[in-house]
Amino acid sequence: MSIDPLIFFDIIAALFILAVALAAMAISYSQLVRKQNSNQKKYDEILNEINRKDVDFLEDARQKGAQIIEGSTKKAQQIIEESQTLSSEYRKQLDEALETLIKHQTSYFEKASQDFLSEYKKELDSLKARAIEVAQNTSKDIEEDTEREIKEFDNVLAQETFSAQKIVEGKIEEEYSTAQKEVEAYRQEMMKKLEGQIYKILEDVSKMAIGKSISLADHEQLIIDALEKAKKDGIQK
Amino acid sequence: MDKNLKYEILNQVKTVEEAENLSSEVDSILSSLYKVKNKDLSQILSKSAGKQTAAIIKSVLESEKISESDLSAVEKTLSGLKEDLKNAQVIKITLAIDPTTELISHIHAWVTENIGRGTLLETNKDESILGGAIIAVNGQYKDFSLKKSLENIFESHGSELLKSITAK
Repeated sequence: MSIDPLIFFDIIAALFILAVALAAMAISYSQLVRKQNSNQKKYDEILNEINRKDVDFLEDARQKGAQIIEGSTKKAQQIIEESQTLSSEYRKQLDEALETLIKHQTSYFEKASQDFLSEYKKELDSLKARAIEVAQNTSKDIEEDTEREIKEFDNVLAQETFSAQKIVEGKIEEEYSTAQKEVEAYRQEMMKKLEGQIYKILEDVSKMAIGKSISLADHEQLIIDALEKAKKDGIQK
Repeated sequence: MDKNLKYEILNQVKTVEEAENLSSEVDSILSSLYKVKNKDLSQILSKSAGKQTAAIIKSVLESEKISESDLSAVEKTLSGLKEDLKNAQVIKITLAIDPTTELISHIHAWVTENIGRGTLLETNKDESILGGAIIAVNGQYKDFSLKKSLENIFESHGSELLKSITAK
């Protein structure tokens, strides 16, 4: 088998180019790695520097803080001591001031109380006087009202009594009149009864007397007379 | 029956009592008319009726010209007589005494004259009326008793009588 020389050279050329390209790439890569390593180194260095600086700073800060605290404590102790001294003084002054104030206030309140008391007494007296006056007036009013009401009541009572008396009089008159009528009626009735009884007695006596005294002939005559009377009286068929 | 005859017969019967007796006797005669044992009317009349009744019945039959043997006609006449007695007008008279026959006749005569023939008297006795008579006829009531007269006197002159009594 034979290969076309052109193709052979072409392949050789291509391989050469590829080899060159690979070589170039390898070089470039190695340079990049070297560069990265250098950068990493720098980064580590910077990081270390930062850490170191942080530690220093923290240490410095701690120290400074301790100093401040110590100073502050001392100062505070001093202030406390000073303040205790001041406090006793101030207390003394305050007590004095308070005492003065109390005295002043007491006198003021005493005076105010006195004034108020006198005012109160005055007002009370005034009120009392007014109350007495009002009470007197009220009492007077009540008295007048009571008197007036009693008078009115008396009048009404008198009128009512008068009316009642009139009514009673009327009733009595009416009752009296009715009673009189009843008595009269009863009297009349009794009189009538009495008369009736007397008549009856008279009649009975007459009858007894006549009945016993009439003879048969007289009877017949009386019967004939009765028949004649009946005839005259118009007895009809 | 002839009216005059009827009144003539009834005129012999003055009171309700007499009429009732007559009627009763007529009943007795009527019930005996057809009995076999009774041979003739005279025998029946003598057995069943009084003399006066028998006389009345005979006079009625004679005047009516009815044969005593004609029992049917006799029966008819007697029934008519009985009916007339039943329908006769009655006048009630109250008296204080029991009336005598004479007094009854007198009263009956008066009644015949003033009330009419054939009127029967019904008399009652009431001593309390004292005397006189109370007449009731045809719904009319007339009190002519002595009692009523006395009552009238006491009613109209009672107070005067009372005064005169008390004055004495």
